[in-house]
Amino acid sequence: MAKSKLKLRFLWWALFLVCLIPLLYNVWQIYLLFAGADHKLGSEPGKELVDHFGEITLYFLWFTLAITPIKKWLGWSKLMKYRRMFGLYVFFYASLHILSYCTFLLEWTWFILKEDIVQRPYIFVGLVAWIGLLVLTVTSPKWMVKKLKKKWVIIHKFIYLIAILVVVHEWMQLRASFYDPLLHAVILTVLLCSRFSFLKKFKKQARIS
Amino acid sequence: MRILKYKTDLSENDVTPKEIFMKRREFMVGSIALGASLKALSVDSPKIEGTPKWMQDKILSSKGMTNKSDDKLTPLHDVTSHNNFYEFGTHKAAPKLKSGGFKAFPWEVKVSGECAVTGTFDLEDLIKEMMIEERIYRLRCVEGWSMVIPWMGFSLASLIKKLQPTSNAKYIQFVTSDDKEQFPAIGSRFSTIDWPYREGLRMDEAMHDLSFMAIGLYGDALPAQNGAPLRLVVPWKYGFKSIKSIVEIRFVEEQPYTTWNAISDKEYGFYANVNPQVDHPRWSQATEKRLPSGLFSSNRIETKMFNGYPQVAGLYKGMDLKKYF
Repeated sequence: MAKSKLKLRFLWWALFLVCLIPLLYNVWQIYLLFAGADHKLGSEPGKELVDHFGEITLYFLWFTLAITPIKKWLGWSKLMKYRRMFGLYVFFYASLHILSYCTFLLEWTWFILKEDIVQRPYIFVGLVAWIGLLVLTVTSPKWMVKKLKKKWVIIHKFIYLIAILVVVHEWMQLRASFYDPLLHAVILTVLLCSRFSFLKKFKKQARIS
Repeated sequence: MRILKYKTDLSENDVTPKEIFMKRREFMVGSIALGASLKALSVDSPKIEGTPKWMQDKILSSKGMTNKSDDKLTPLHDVTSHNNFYEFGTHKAAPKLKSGGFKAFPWEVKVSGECAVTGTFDLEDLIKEMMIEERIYRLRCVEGWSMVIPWMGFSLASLIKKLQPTSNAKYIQFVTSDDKEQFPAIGSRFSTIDWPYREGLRMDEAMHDLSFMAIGLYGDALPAQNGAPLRLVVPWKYGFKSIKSIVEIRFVEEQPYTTWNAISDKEYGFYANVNPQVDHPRWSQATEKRLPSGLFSSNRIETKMFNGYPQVAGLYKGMDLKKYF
C-alpha cells in the first residue's frame, strides 16, 4: 500500500517536472540571448516568446481535455489523478502568454493595452478566455470542490466554452496559412464529439440497467 | 511545435560592424581601382554559393553608395534570418532554413504587356546596361517591425526605360516564381495565398527615383531568403509590396491583381504606403520595432509617414490616404 502510494507520488512529481520543460526551455533560450550566444528566439524574441507560450497553452488544453476520452477508450482511469495538474498548467502557460505579451510587446503601456482590448476583438476574446481559466483555477482546490458541490461541475463545464474561445482567438489571427488554426479546430472538434458520443452511450446503459 | 525548428549558426558577435563593413567597401573599391584580380579579392567577392561570375562582376561594378542614411544598419544576420517569404514557409526562420536547395541561376524574366520590348530574357541580358549602385533603405513590414538594409541594384526607372512601355501602360505588375521544385511551401494545401505571388505599382510610383531593383545586399549577391536573384524594393511602402524572386514583369492598363490585397482588402490596400495614422485591424501602425529587438529593450520607434520618405508625397496629391491605404 505504502509502496504504491510512493510510486504515485513519484509519478506526480515526474509529470509535474516534465510539464515545466517548455518553460525551462524558453528560460534557457533567454539566458543564451543575454549571454550573446546562439539562441532560437530570432530577431523579435519578445514576439517569439508570446507565440511559444500561446502554442504551449493550446497543447496543455488538449492534454487536459483528452484525459476523459482516453480514460473511456483505453481504460487508463489513473490519469484522472493528473487532470487537475494539467488544467492548472493550462492557466500557468496562458498567464505566461499574457504576461510576456504585456511585458515584451506592450512594455506595460496601459493605453495600448486598453486600445487593444477595446479595438481588437481577437485580444478581447483571448482575455475573456484567460479570465475563464482564472475562475477555474481559483475554484480548483479540493476544499472548493467540496464546498461548491454541484455548482463546481457546472462551473468547470465552462472549459469547453473557453476552449472554443481559444481556437477562435487563434483563428482570428489567420494570415498566410490555415494549418495551425485548422489543426487545433480539428483537435477541439474531436475532443468535443468524443464527449457527445459517450453521453449517448452512458444514457443508453443507464436505461438498460 | 514550432519551437524546435529555429536554428541559427551566427551569434551577435559574428555581425560585421558598420565601420568595418564601410572600410571593406573602401578596400574593395580601392582594389578594383588598382586593378587587383578578382582572385585576390576572393575574401570579399560574393559569398552566395552558385553566383556566376557575371553576377559577381556586376556587383563589383557598383559605383558605391548613392544615398545618405543616418540610420544604424540592421546586422546582416538579422537581415538574412528574419524573413517573410511564404514560398519557403510561414515562420520567420523558414526562408533561411528551407532555401538550401534554391537555385537563383540561371534565371529568366518574362516581359509582357503594354511595352515595346517583350519576350523572355536571361537575367544577365536584362540587366546588362544597368548601372549598379548601393542604397541604404529602411524596410517597414506591415507586421510592425523594420530594418535598415544596404541594397545593391539599380533604379526601377532605368529598367522601365529599357522596356519602353506604351502610353497605355498605367500600372506595372510583378510576378514571383511559383516553381514547386524551388519553393517547398508552394505545395501546401493550407495556404491562403493563390500562387504565384503578385504585386504591382502605379506607373508614376514605379518611375519614382526611390523605386529600386535589388540584386544584392551588404555587398554580396542576394541570398535566396531575401529574394534572389532579382527583387523590388519600394522603401515608402510596407514590405509585402517589395516582391521577391521576380520572373515576370507586365505592363498593364488596369490596376493589377496584388496578392495580399486579394487575400484581405480590409487589411492590405493596393497602395500600402507606410502610414502611422491608418492601423491594421489587429494592430497599431503608429510605432515599429527596429530590429534586432531585445527582450526588455524592444527598440520601438515612431513610424513616420511614407516611412520617412516625404519626397513621394507628391504622388498622392489629392488622394484620401485613409481610403486608399
